[in-house]
Amino acid sequence: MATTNPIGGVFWRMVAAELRKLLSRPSGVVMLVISALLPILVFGLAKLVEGGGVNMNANGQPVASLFSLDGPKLLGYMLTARNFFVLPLFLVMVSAQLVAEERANFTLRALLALPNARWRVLLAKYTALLTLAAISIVGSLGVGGPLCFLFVDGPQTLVAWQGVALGWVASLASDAGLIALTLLISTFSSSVAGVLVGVILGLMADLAIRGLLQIAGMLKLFPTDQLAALMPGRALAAWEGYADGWDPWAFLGLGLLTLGCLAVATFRFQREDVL
Amino acid sequence: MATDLAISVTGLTRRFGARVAVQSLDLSVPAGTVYGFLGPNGSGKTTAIRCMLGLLRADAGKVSIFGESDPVRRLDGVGAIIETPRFYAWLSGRANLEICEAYLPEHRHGQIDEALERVGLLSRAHDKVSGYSLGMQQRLGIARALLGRPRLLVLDEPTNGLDPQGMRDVRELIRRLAQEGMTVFISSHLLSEIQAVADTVGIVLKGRRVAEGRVSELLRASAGDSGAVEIELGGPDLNAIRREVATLDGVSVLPRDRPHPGARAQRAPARERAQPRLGQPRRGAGRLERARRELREPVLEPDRE
Repeated sequence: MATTNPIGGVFWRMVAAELRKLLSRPSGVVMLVISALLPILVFGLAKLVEGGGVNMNANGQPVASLFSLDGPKLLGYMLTARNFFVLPLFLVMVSAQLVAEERANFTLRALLALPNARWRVLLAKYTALLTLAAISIVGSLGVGGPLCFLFVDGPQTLVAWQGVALGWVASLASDAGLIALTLLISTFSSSVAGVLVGVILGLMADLAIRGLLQIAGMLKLFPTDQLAALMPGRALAAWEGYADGWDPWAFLGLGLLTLGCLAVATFRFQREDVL
Repeated sequence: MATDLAISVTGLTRRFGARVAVQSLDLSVPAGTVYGFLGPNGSGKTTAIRCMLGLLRADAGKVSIFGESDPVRRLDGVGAIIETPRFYAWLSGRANLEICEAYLPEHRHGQIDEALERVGLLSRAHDKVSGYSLGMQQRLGIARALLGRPRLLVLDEPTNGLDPQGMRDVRELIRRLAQEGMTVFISSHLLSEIQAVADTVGIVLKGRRVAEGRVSELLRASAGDSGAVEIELGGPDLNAIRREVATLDGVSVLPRDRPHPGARAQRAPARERAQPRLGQPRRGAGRLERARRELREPVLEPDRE
Protein backbone atom coordinates (compact mmCIF):
# COMPACT_ATOMS: atom_id res chain seq x y z
CA MET A 1 0.00 0.00 0.00
CA ALA A 2 1.27 3.45 -0.89
CA THR A 3 2.26 5.64 2.04
CA THR A 4 -0.22 8.47 2.51
CA ASN A 5 0.31 11.78 4.20
CA PRO A 6 -1.40 11.54 7.60
CA ILE A 7 -2.40 15.21 7.36
CA GLY A 8 -3.09 15.12 3.63
CA GLY A 9 -6.14 15.84 1.50
CA VAL A 10 -8.42 13.33 3.20
CA PHE A 11 -7.65 14.84 6.58
CA TRP A 12 -8.80 18.29 5.45
CA ARG A 13 -11.94 16.76 3.95
CA MET A 14 -12.58 15.20 7.34
CA VAL A 15 -12.13 18.63 8.96
CA ALA A 16 -14.52 20.18 6.42
CA ALA A 17 -17.08 17.45 7.11
CA GLU A 18 -16.88 18.07 10.85
CA LEU A 19 -17.16 21.83 10.32
CA ARG A 20 -20.21 21.23 8.14
CA LYS A 21 -21.83 19.33 10.97
CA LEU A 22 -21.06 22.16 13.39
CA LEU A 23 -22.39 24.88 11.11
CA SER A 24 -25.55 22.98 10.27
CA ARG A 25 -26.66 22.76 13.89
CA PRO A 26 -28.46 25.52 15.82
CA SER A 27 -25.77 25.55 18.52
CA GLY A 28 -23.01 26.36 16.04
CA VAL A 29 -25.05 29.02 14.25
CA VAL A 30 -26.19 30.64 17.51
CA MET A 31 -22.61 30.74 18.70
CA LEU A 32 -21.53 32.67 15.61
CA VAL A 33 -24.53 35.01 15.78
CA ILE A 34 -23.75 35.82 19.42
CA SER A 35 -20.12 36.37 18.45
CA ALA A 36 -21.22 39.02 15.96
CA LEU A 37 -23.87 40.62 18.19
CA LEU A 38 -21.84 40.93 21.40
CA PRO A 39 -19.56 43.72 20.09
CA ILE A 40 -22.61 45.68 18.94
CA LEU A 41 -24.15 45.29 22.39
CA VAL A 42 -20.93 46.38 24.10
CA PHE A 43 -20.58 49.31 21.71
CA GLY A 44 -24.16 50.42 22.35
CA LEU A 45 -23.78 50.18 26.12
CA ALA A 46 -20.47 52.04 26.09
CA LYS A 47 -21.88 54.87 23.99
CA LEU A 48 -24.90 55.02 26.28
CA VAL A 49 -22.74 55.34 29.39
CA GLU A 50 -20.36 57.79 27.76
CA GLY A 51 -23.21 59.97 26.59
CA GLY A 52 -24.70 60.17 30.08
CA GLY A 53 -27.62 57.96 29.16
CA VAL A 54 -27.12 55.89 32.28
CA ASN A 55 -28.11 57.81 35.39
CA MET A 56 -25.80 56.10 37.86
CA ASN A 57 -23.29 57.37 40.38
CA ALA A 58 -20.06 55.87 41.59
CA ASN A 59 -18.37 57.40 44.65
CA GLY A 60 -20.84 60.27 44.42
CA GLN A 61 -19.92 61.09 40.86
CA PRO A 62 -21.85 60.32 37.67
CA VAL A 63 -20.49 57.23 35.97
CA ALA A 64 -20.18 59.08 32.69
CA SER A 65 -17.61 61.46 34.17
CA LEU A 66 -15.40 58.52 35.15
CA PHE A 67 -15.69 56.84 31.82
CA SER A 68 -13.26 57.86 29.12
CA LEU A 69 -13.63 55.79 26.02
CA ASP A 70 -11.11 55.16 23.31
CA GLY A 71 -10.99 52.64 20.50
CA PRO A 72 -8.51 50.12 21.92
CA LYS A 73 -10.15 50.24 25.33
CA LEU A 74 -13.57 49.56 23.84
CA LEU A 75 -12.14 46.73 21.73
CA GLY A 76 -10.77 45.33 24.97
CA TYR A 77 -14.23 45.44 26.55
CA MET A 78 -15.54 43.60 23.52
CA LEU A 79 -12.84 40.97 23.95
CA THR A 80 -13.75 40.57 27.61
CA ALA A 81 -17.42 40.20 26.69
CA ARG A 82 -16.52 37.63 24.04
CA ASN A 83 -14.51 35.52 26.46
CA PHE A 84 -16.84 35.87 29.43
CA PHE A 85 -18.94 32.78 30.11
CA VAL A 86 -21.48 32.65 27.27
CA LEU A 87 -19.29 31.93 24.25
CA PRO A 88 -16.89 29.63 26.14
CA LEU A 89 -19.98 27.74 27.31
CA PHE A 90 -21.12 27.39 23.70
CA LEU A 91 -17.64 26.25 22.72
CA VAL A 92 -17.72 23.54 25.39
CA MET A 93 -21.20 22.50 24.25
CA VAL A 94 -20.38 22.16 20.54
CA SER A 95 -17.15 20.35 21.39
CA ALA A 96 -19.06 17.87 23.52
CA GLN A 97 -21.60 17.39 20.73
CA LEU A 98 -18.87 16.35 18.35
CA VAL A 99 -17.56 13.53 20.55
CA ALA A 100 -19.72 12.71 23.58
CA GLU A 101 -23.05 13.13 21.84
CA GLU A 102 -21.90 11.26 18.75
CA ARG A 103 -20.84 8.41 20.97
CA ALA A 104 -24.21 8.42 22.73
CA ASN A 105 -26.24 8.37 19.51
CA PHE A 106 -23.89 5.89 17.80
CA THR A 107 -22.96 8.11 14.84
CA LEU A 108 -19.34 7.96 16.01
CA ARG A 109 -19.43 4.20 15.38
CA ALA A 110 -19.92 4.67 11.64
CA LEU A 111 -16.95 7.06 11.42
CA LEU A 112 -14.66 4.77 13.39
CA ALA A 113 -15.52 1.78 11.19
CA LEU A 114 -13.85 3.58 8.28
CA PRO A 115 -10.17 3.24 7.41
CA ASN A 116 -8.74 6.03 9.53
CA ALA A 117 -6.59 5.96 12.63
CA ARG A 118 -8.63 7.20 15.55
CA TRP A 119 -6.13 9.92 16.38
CA ARG A 120 -6.80 11.39 12.93
CA VAL A 121 -10.53 11.40 13.60
CA LEU A 122 -10.03 13.17 16.92
CA LEU A 123 -7.56 15.62 15.41
CA ALA A 124 -10.01 16.39 12.58
CA LYS A 125 -12.71 17.13 15.12
CA TYR A 126 -10.32 19.28 17.15
CA THR A 127 -9.22 21.22 14.06
CA ALA A 128 -12.84 21.80 13.04
CA LEU A 129 -13.68 23.11 16.52
CA LEU A 130 -10.63 25.36 16.49
CA THR A 131 -11.72 26.66 13.09
CA LEU A 132 -15.17 27.42 14.49
CA ALA A 133 -13.54 29.29 17.39
CA ALA A 134 -11.41 31.24 14.90
CA ILE A 135 -14.52 32.13 12.85
CA SER A 136 -16.17 33.31 16.06
CA ILE A 137 -13.19 35.52 16.91
CA VAL A 138 -12.96 36.90 13.38
CA GLY A 139 -16.70 37.55 13.47
CA SER A 140 -16.48 39.46 16.74
CA LEU A 141 -13.40 41.36 15.66
CA GLY A 142 -14.82 41.98 12.20
CA VAL A 143 -17.86 43.66 13.71
CA GLY A 144 -16.25 45.28 16.75
CA GLY A 145 -13.01 46.46 15.14
CA PRO A 146 -14.59 48.81 12.56
CA LEU A 147 -17.04 50.10 15.18
CA CYS A 148 -14.17 51.04 17.49
CA PHE A 149 -11.96 52.32 14.71
CA LEU A 150 -14.52 54.45 12.95
CA PHE A 151 -16.97 55.62 15.58
CA VAL A 152 -15.01 56.08 18.81
CA ASP A 153 -12.91 59.13 19.42
CA GLY A 154 -10.16 59.35 21.97
CA PRO A 155 -6.46 58.89 22.46
CA GLN A 156 -5.20 56.10 20.27
CA THR A 157 -1.72 54.84 19.63
CA LEU A 158 -0.53 52.05 17.45
CA VAL A 159 0.91 50.33 20.54
CA ALA A 160 -2.50 50.32 22.20
CA TRP A 161 -4.11 48.78 19.11
CA GLN A 162 -1.34 46.17 18.90
CA GLY A 163 -1.84 45.21 22.52
CA VAL A 164 -5.52 44.55 22.22
CA ALA A 165 -5.06 42.85 18.84
CA LEU A 166 -2.67 40.42 20.50
CA GLY A 167 -5.31 39.86 23.16
CA TRP A 168 -7.69 38.67 20.45
CA VAL A 169 -5.05 36.37 19.01
CA ALA A 170 -4.32 35.02 22.49
CA SER A 171 -7.99 34.29 23.02
CA LEU A 172 -7.78 31.80 20.15
CA ALA A 173 -5.00 30.08 22.08
CA SER A 174 -7.27 30.02 25.13
CA ASP A 175 -10.06 28.51 23.03
CA ALA A 176 -7.60 25.87 21.84
CA GLY A 177 -6.96 24.94 25.47
CA LEU A 178 -10.64 24.92 26.36
CA ILE A 179 -11.52 22.68 23.39
CA ALA A 180 -8.72 20.26 24.29
CA LEU A 181 -9.95 20.14 27.90
CA THR A 182 -13.50 19.49 26.69
CA LEU A 183 -12.42 16.71 24.36
CA LEU A 184 -10.56 15.07 27.21
CA ILE A 185 -13.63 15.20 29.44
CA SER A 186 -15.71 13.93 26.49
CA THR A 187 -13.71 10.70 26.59
CA PHE A 188 -15.18 10.09 30.06
CA SER A 189 -18.79 11.04 29.38
CA SER A 190 -21.38 10.28 26.72
CA SER A 191 -23.64 13.25 27.37
CA VAL A 192 -23.25 16.92 26.58
CA ALA A 193 -24.64 17.83 30.01
CA GLY A 194 -22.13 15.51 31.66
CA VAL A 195 -19.26 17.17 29.83
CA LEU A 196 -20.54 20.66 30.69
CA VAL A 197 -20.78 19.74 34.36
CA GLY A 198 -17.35 18.11 34.18
CA VAL A 199 -15.71 21.20 32.72
CA ILE A 200 -17.42 23.53 35.18
CA LEU A 201 -16.57 21.34 38.19
CA GLY A 202 -13.02 21.02 36.94
CA LEU A 203 -12.58 24.77 36.66
CA MET A 204 -14.20 25.30 40.06
CA ALA A 205 -11.76 22.80 41.57
CA ASP A 206 -8.98 24.68 39.81
CA LEU A 207 -10.18 27.93 41.38
CA ALA A 208 -10.21 26.35 44.83
CA ILE A 209 -6.69 24.98 44.38
CA ARG A 210 -5.46 28.37 43.23
CA GLY A 211 -7.05 29.91 46.32
CA LEU A 212 -5.18 27.44 48.51
CA LEU A 213 -1.98 28.20 46.64
CA GLN A 214 -2.53 31.91 47.26
CA ILE A 215 -2.95 31.28 50.98
CA ALA A 216 0.17 29.13 50.98
CA GLY A 217 2.00 31.95 49.22
CA MET A 218 0.82 34.52 51.76
CA LEU A 219 2.04 32.25 54.54
CA LYS A 220 5.34 31.97 52.64
CA LEU A 221 5.16 28.17 52.82
CA PHE A 222 6.62 27.85 49.33
CA PRO A 223 6.74 30.01 46.16
CA THR A 224 3.38 29.61 44.54
CA ASP A 225 3.09 32.33 41.88
CA GLN A 226 4.47 30.31 38.97
CA LEU A 227 2.61 27.21 40.06
CA ALA A 228 -0.67 29.12 40.16
CA ALA A 229 0.04 30.54 36.68
CA LEU A 230 0.38 27.00 35.34
CA MET A 231 -3.04 25.98 36.61
CA PRO A 232 -5.68 25.46 33.87
CA GLY A 233 -8.01 28.24 35.00
CA ARG A 234 -5.25 30.81 34.98
CA ALA A 235 -3.81 29.45 31.75
CA LEU A 236 -7.16 29.75 30.01
CA ALA A 237 -7.21 33.42 31.01
CA ALA A 238 -3.79 34.10 29.46
CA TRP A 239 -5.46 36.42 26.95
CA GLU A 240 -6.08 38.92 29.77
CA GLY A 241 -2.39 39.76 29.57
CA TYR A 242 -3.17 42.36 26.90
CA ALA A 243 -4.44 44.62 29.71
CA ASP A 244 -2.42 43.48 32.74
CA GLY A 245 0.87 42.59 31.06
CA TRP A 246 1.68 39.29 29.42
CA ASP A 247 2.60 36.43 31.72
CA PRO A 248 4.83 33.85 30.01
CA TRP A 249 4.02 31.33 32.76
CA ALA A 250 0.34 31.52 31.87
CA PHE A 251 1.15 30.79 28.22
CA LEU A 252 3.41 27.94 29.25
CA GLY A 253 0.52 26.62 31.31
CA LEU A 254 -1.82 27.03 28.35
CA GLY A 255 0.55 25.10 26.10
CA LEU A 256 0.91 22.32 28.65
CA LEU A 257 -2.84 22.21 29.18
CA THR A 258 -3.59 22.01 25.46
CA LEU A 259 -0.99 19.43 24.58
CA GLY A 260 -1.53 17.41 27.75
CA CYS A 261 -5.29 17.24 27.31
CA LEU A 262 -4.96 16.34 23.63
CA ALA A 263 -2.41 13.63 24.38
CA VAL A 264 -4.52 12.00 27.11
CA ALA A 265 -7.73 12.39 25.09
CA THR A 266 -6.09 10.74 22.07
CA PHE A 267 -4.74 7.91 24.21
CA ARG A 268 -8.17 7.25 25.68
CA PHE A 269 -9.97 7.65 22.33
CA GLN A 270 -7.54 5.25 20.70
CA ARG A 271 -8.25 2.54 23.27
CA GLU A 272 -11.96 3.15 23.63
CA ASP A 273 -14.43 0.34 22.99
CA VAL A 274 -17.09 1.61 20.61
CA LEU A 275 -20.46 -0.04 21.07
CA MET B 1 -1.00 -9.71 -0.31
CA ALA B 2 -3.02 -12.03 -2.53
CA THR B 3 -5.41 -14.26 -0.64
CA ASP B 4 -8.49 -16.38 -1.30
CA LEU B 5 -9.95 -15.45 2.04
CA ALA B 6 -11.84 -12.22 2.49
CA ILE B 7 -11.91 -12.62 6.26
CA SER B 8 -9.72 -14.82 8.38
CA VAL B 9 -10.39 -14.88 12.12
CA THR B 10 -8.25 -17.03 14.38
CA GLY B 11 -8.77 -17.53 18.10
CA LEU B 12 -10.74 -14.34 18.56
CA THR B 13 -11.67 -13.82 22.19
CA ARG B 14 -13.41 -10.93 23.88
CA ARG B 15 -14.56 -10.74 27.48
CA PHE B 16 -16.74 -8.19 29.21
CA GLY B 17 -15.72 -8.57 32.82
CA ALA B 18 -16.36 -12.17 33.79
CA ARG B 19 -18.60 -12.80 30.80
CA VAL B 20 -16.96 -14.26 27.71
CA ALA B 21 -18.77 -12.83 24.69
CA VAL B 22 -16.57 -14.39 22.03
CA GLN B 23 -14.38 -17.39 22.76
CA SER B 24 -11.59 -18.64 20.51
CA LEU B 25 -13.62 -17.93 17.42
CA ASP B 26 -12.25 -19.09 14.08
CA LEU B 27 -13.83 -18.03 10.82
CA SER B 28 -12.77 -18.37 7.21
CA VAL B 29 -14.78 -16.35 4.73
CA PRO B 30 -13.92 -17.14 1.11
CA ALA B 31 -13.62 -14.13 -1.17
CA GLY B 32 -16.49 -13.58 -3.57
CA THR B 33 -19.06 -15.49 -1.54
CA VAL B 34 -22.03 -14.62 0.63
CA TYR B 35 -21.19 -15.81 4.14
CA GLY B 36 -23.98 -16.20 6.65
CA PHE B 37 -23.01 -15.66 10.27
CA LEU B 38 -25.81 -17.36 12.11
CA GLY B 39 -26.63 -17.54 15.77
CA PRO B 40 -29.31 -16.67 18.28
CA ASN B 41 -29.45 -13.26 19.90
CA GLY B 42 -26.67 -12.83 22.45
CA SER B 43 -24.44 -15.47 20.87
CA GLY B 44 -21.61 -13.00 20.24
CA LYS B 45 -22.16 -12.21 16.57
CA THR B 46 -22.15 -8.42 16.91
CA THR B 47 -19.22 -8.47 19.33
CA ALA B 48 -17.23 -10.55 16.85
CA ILE B 49 -18.10 -8.14 14.03
CA ARG B 50 -17.08 -5.15 16.14
CA CYS B 51 -13.75 -6.81 16.86
CA MET B 52 -13.25 -7.47 13.13
CA LEU B 53 -13.94 -3.80 12.37
CA GLY B 54 -11.65 -2.58 15.14
CA LEU B 55 -14.46 -1.01 17.16
CA LEU B 56 -13.75 -3.34 20.08
CA ARG B 57 -10.34 -4.47 21.19
CA ALA B 58 -9.95 -8.21 21.16
CA ASP B 59 -8.48 -9.85 24.25
CA ALA B 60 -6.86 -12.46 22.04
CA GLY B 61 -6.82 -13.65 18.48
CA LYS B 62 -6.06 -12.38 15.03
CA VAL B 63 -8.24 -10.83 12.35
CA SER B 64 -7.16 -10.25 8.80
CA ILE B 65 -9.22 -8.96 5.90
CA PHE B 66 -7.96 -9.78 2.41
CA GLY B 67 -4.69 -10.74 4.07
CA GLU B 68 -4.24 -7.40 5.83
CA SER B 69 -4.16 -7.49 9.62
CA ASP B 70 -3.33 -3.85 10.38
CA PRO B 71 -6.43 -2.54 12.19
CA VAL B 72 -6.70 0.57 9.98
CA ARG B 73 -5.50 -0.71 6.61
CA ARG B 74 -7.67 -3.81 6.75
CA LEU B 75 -10.75 -1.55 6.71
CA ASP B 76 -9.86 -0.09 3.31
CA GLY B 77 -12.32 -1.80 1.01
CA VAL B 78 -14.82 -2.68 3.73
CA GLY B 79 -18.33 -1.27 4.05
CA ALA B 80 -20.33 -2.10 7.15
CA ILE B 81 -23.61 -1.81 8.95
CA ILE B 82 -23.45 -2.58 12.64
CA GLU B 83 -26.87 -3.10 14.18
CA THR B 84 -29.32 -0.27 13.47
CA PRO B 85 -27.52 2.41 11.46
CA ARG B 86 -27.60 5.90 12.97
CA PHE B 87 -27.32 9.24 11.20
CA TYR B 88 -27.14 12.98 11.73
CA ALA B 89 -30.89 13.43 11.77
CA TRP B 90 -30.85 17.15 11.00
CA LEU B 91 -28.99 16.57 7.72
CA SER B 92 -30.30 15.10 4.49
CA GLY B 93 -29.58 11.52 3.49
CA ARG B 94 -27.19 12.76 0.86
CA ALA B 95 -25.36 15.08 3.28
CA ASN B 96 -24.92 12.15 5.64
CA LEU B 97 -23.29 10.14 2.90
CA GLU B 98 -21.10 13.10 1.89
CA ILE B 99 -19.81 13.38 5.46
CA CYS B 100 -19.07 9.69 5.51
CA GLU B 101 -17.40 9.83 2.12
CA ALA B 102 -15.06 12.55 3.37
CA TYR B 103 -13.59 9.95 5.73
CA LEU B 104 -12.84 7.51 2.92
CA PRO B 105 -9.63 7.39 0.90
CA GLU B 106 -9.81 9.47 -2.28
CA HIS B 107 -9.94 6.44 -4.56
CA ARG B 108 -13.28 5.52 -3.00
CA HIS B 109 -14.99 8.87 -3.63
CA GLY B 110 -17.68 9.78 -6.14
CA GLN B 111 -20.27 7.02 -5.81
CA ILE B 112 -22.95 8.60 -3.66
CA ASP B 113 -25.61 8.72 -6.37
CA GLU B 114 -24.92 5.14 -7.37
CA ALA B 115 -25.22 3.95 -3.77
CA LEU B 116 -28.47 5.87 -3.26
CA GLU B 117 -29.89 4.51 -6.47
CA ARG B 118 -29.05 0.93 -5.54
CA VAL B 119 -31.16 1.19 -2.39
CA GLY B 120 -33.91 3.20 -4.05
CA LEU B 121 -33.38 6.42 -2.12
CA LEU B 122 -32.12 8.72 -4.85
CA SER B 123 -35.43 10.58 -5.09
CA ARG B 124 -35.47 11.19 -1.32
CA ALA B 125 -31.78 12.02 -1.05
CA HIS B 126 -32.34 15.67 -0.18
CA ASP B 127 -34.91 14.99 2.55
CA LYS B 128 -33.79 15.24 6.14
CA VAL B 129 -33.07 11.88 7.75
CA SER B 130 -35.37 12.83 10.64
CA GLY B 131 -38.24 12.32 8.18
CA TYR B 132 -37.10 8.85 7.10
CA SER B 133 -38.89 5.71 8.25
CA LEU B 134 -36.90 2.98 10.00
CA GLY B 135 -36.82 0.99 6.79
CA MET B 136 -35.49 3.98 4.83
CA GLN B 137 -32.79 4.52 7.45
CA GLN B 138 -31.84 0.88 7.14
CA ARG B 139 -31.57 1.29 3.36
CA LEU B 140 -29.55 4.49 3.82
CA GLY B 141 -27.26 2.49 6.08
CA ILE B 142 -26.73 0.01 3.28
CA ALA B 143 -26.04 2.89 0.88
CA ARG B 144 -23.46 4.22 3.34
CA ALA B 145 -21.84 0.81 3.52
CA LEU B 146 -21.73 0.66 -0.28
CA LEU B 147 -19.86 3.98 -0.62
CA GLY B 148 -16.69 3.58 -2.57
CA ARG B 149 -17.65 0.14 -3.87
CA PRO B 150 -16.14 -1.94 -1.07
CA ARG B 151 -14.76 -5.41 -1.77
CA LEU B 152 -16.29 -6.68 1.43
CA LEU B 153 -19.71 -5.75 2.77
CA VAL B 154 -20.38 -6.55 6.42
CA LEU B 155 -24.07 -6.49 7.28
CA ASP B 156 -25.13 -7.04 10.87
CA GLU B 157 -28.83 -7.90 10.95
CA PRO B 158 -29.50 -5.81 7.82
CA THR B 159 -33.22 -6.55 7.59
CA ASN B 160 -34.05 -5.28 11.08
CA GLY B 161 -36.96 -2.89 10.84
CA LEU B 162 -37.76 -3.73 7.23
CA ASP B 163 -41.17 -4.80 6.01
CA PRO B 164 -41.43 -8.04 3.98
CA GLN B 165 -40.96 -6.19 0.70
CA GLY B 166 -37.92 -4.38 2.13
CA MET B 167 -36.49 -7.70 3.26
CA ARG B 168 -36.94 -9.15 -0.21
CA ASP B 169 -35.28 -6.06 -1.72
CA VAL B 170 -32.28 -6.43 0.57
CA ARG B 171 -31.92 -10.11 -0.31
CA GLU B 172 -32.12 -9.26 -3.97
CA LEU B 173 -29.51 -6.53 -3.53
CA ILE B 174 -27.18 -8.95 -1.72
CA ARG B 175 -27.51 -11.45 -4.54
CA ARG B 176 -26.75 -8.76 -7.14
CA LEU B 177 -23.70 -7.56 -5.21
CA ALA B 178 -22.45 -11.11 -4.91
CA GLN B 179 -22.88 -11.61 -8.66
CA GLU B 180 -20.72 -8.52 -9.16
CA GLY B 181 -17.97 -10.21 -7.16
CA MET B 182 -18.42 -8.52 -3.81
CA THR B 183 -17.92 -10.61 -0.70
CA VAL B 184 -20.88 -10.24 1.64
CA PHE B 185 -20.71 -11.17 5.32
CA ILE B 186 -24.21 -11.15 6.72
CA SER B 187 -25.13 -11.89 10.31
CA SER B 188 -28.58 -12.88 11.41
CA HIS B 189 -30.47 -14.90 13.97
CA LEU B 190 -32.93 -15.97 11.28
CA LEU B 191 -32.26 -19.27 9.56
CA SER B 192 -34.48 -18.42 6.65
CA GLU B 193 -32.68 -15.16 5.97
CA ILE B 194 -29.26 -16.79 5.87
CA GLN B 195 -30.54 -19.74 3.89
CA ALA B 196 -32.02 -17.42 1.30
CA VAL B 197 -28.79 -15.63 0.42
CA ALA B 198 -25.72 -17.37 1.79
CA ASP B 199 -23.35 -19.79 0.07
CA THR B 200 -21.40 -20.55 3.21
CA VAL B 201 -22.54 -20.38 6.78
CA GLY B 202 -20.83 -20.17 10.14
CA ILE B 203 -22.95 -20.97 13.17
CA VAL B 204 -22.04 -19.41 16.48
CA LEU B 205 -23.33 -20.28 19.93
CA LYS B 206 -22.24 -18.70 23.21
CA GLY B 207 -19.38 -17.01 21.42
CA ARG B 208 -18.02 -20.21 19.85
CA ARG B 209 -18.30 -21.42 16.31
CA VAL B 210 -20.09 -24.74 16.28
CA ALA B 211 -20.33 -25.35 12.53
CA GLU B 212 -19.01 -23.88 9.33
CA GLY B 213 -19.45 -24.99 5.76
CA ARG B 214 -21.42 -24.64 2.59
CA VAL B 215 -25.13 -24.29 3.18
CA SER B 216 -25.91 -27.19 0.85
CA GLU B 217 -23.53 -29.48 2.75
CA LEU B 218 -25.01 -28.55 6.11
CA LEU B 219 -28.47 -29.13 4.70
CA ARG B 220 -27.50 -32.58 3.50
CA ALA B 221 -25.99 -33.38 6.87
CA SER B 222 -29.19 -32.36 8.59
CA ALA B 223 -31.50 -34.35 6.35
CA GLY B 224 -31.80 -37.34 8.68
CA ASP B 225 -34.99 -39.13 9.67
CA SER B 226 -35.44 -36.92 12.65
CA GLY B 227 -34.99 -33.71 10.62
CA ALA B 228 -37.60 -31.14 11.54
CA VAL B 229 -39.60 -29.61 8.75
CA GLU B 230 -40.71 -26.03 8.79
CA ILE B 231 -43.91 -25.17 7.00
CA GLU B 232 -45.13 -21.78 5.98
CA LEU B 233 -48.70 -20.92 6.87
CA GLY B 234 -50.97 -18.74 4.79
CA GLY B 235 -54.65 -17.95 4.44
CA PRO B 236 -57.27 -15.30 5.05
CA ASP B 237 -57.42 -15.78 8.84
CA LEU B 238 -53.94 -16.44 10.05
CA ASN B 239 -54.87 -16.42 13.74
CA ALA B 240 -57.40 -19.19 13.17
CA ILE B 241 -54.77 -21.15 11.31
CA ARG B 242 -52.26 -20.72 14.12
CA ARG B 243 -54.85 -21.93 16.65
CA GLU B 244 -55.67 -24.87 14.44
CA VAL B 245 -52.06 -25.87 14.00
CA ALA B 246 -51.39 -25.59 17.73
CA THR B 247 -53.83 -28.43 18.41
CA LEU B 248 -51.98 -30.87 16.16
CA ASP B 249 -49.82 -33.50 17.78
CA GLY B 250 -46.15 -33.12 16.92
CA VAL B 251 -46.59 -29.71 15.33
CA SER B 252 -45.61 -26.45 17.05
CA VAL B 253 -46.40 -22.91 15.96
CA LEU B 254 -43.35 -20.76 15.40
CA PRO B 255 -43.00 -17.41 17.23
CA ARG B 256 -44.54 -14.36 15.61
CA ASP B 257 -41.18 -12.58 15.14
CA ARG B 258 -40.27 -14.91 12.28
CA PRO B 259 -40.24 -13.42 8.78
CA HIS B 260 -42.96 -15.82 7.65
CA PRO B 261 -45.84 -17.22 9.71
CA GLY B 262 -44.91 -20.80 10.21
CA ALA B 263 -45.08 -24.00 12.14
CA ARG B 264 -42.65 -26.81 12.75
CA ALA B 265 -43.52 -30.44 12.28
CA GLN B 266 -41.12 -32.38 14.48
CA ARG B 267 -41.28 -35.55 12.39
CA ALA B 268 -42.47 -36.49 8.95
CA PRO B 269 -45.60 -38.36 10.22
CA ALA B 270 -46.76 -35.22 11.98
CA ARG B 271 -46.49 -33.32 8.73
CA GLU B 272 -48.49 -35.95 6.96
CA ARG B 273 -51.21 -35.58 9.57
CA ALA B 274 -51.12 -31.79 9.34
CA GLN B 275 -51.26 -31.49 5.59
CA PRO B 276 -54.76 -32.84 4.89
CA ARG B 277 -56.29 -31.33 8.00
CA LEU B 278 -55.10 -27.84 7.24
CA GLY B 279 -56.03 -28.33 3.66
CA GLN B 280 -59.69 -28.81 4.45
CA PRO B 281 -61.58 -25.80 3.10
CA ARG B 282 -64.52 -26.33 5.45
CA ARG B 283 -62.63 -24.85 8.37
CA GLY B 284 -61.42 -21.89 6.30
CA ALA B 285 -58.13 -22.54 7.97
CA GLY B 286 -55.97 -22.23 4.88
CA ARG B 287 -53.47 -24.70 3.63
CA LEU B 288 -49.86 -25.62 3.76
CA GLU B 289 -48.28 -23.50 1.06
CA ARG B 290 -44.79 -24.74 1.20
CA ALA B 291 -42.63 -27.07 3.11
CA ARG B 292 -38.98 -26.35 3.24
CA ARG B 293 -36.17 -28.27 4.74
CA GLU B 294 -34.14 -25.92 6.87
CA LEU B 295 -30.87 -26.17 8.67
CA ARG B 296 -31.34 -28.55 11.51
CA GLU B 297 -32.70 -26.74 14.51
CA PRO B 298 -30.65 -28.46 17.23
CA VAL B 299 -27.61 -26.59 16.01
CA LEU B 300 -29.18 -23.38 17.23
CA GLU B 301 -30.20 -24.69 20.61
CA PRO B 302 -27.39 -24.08 23.09
CA ASP B 303 -28.58 -26.81 25.43
CA ARG B 304 -27.87 -29.42 22.80
CA GLU B 305 -24.30 -28.25 22.20
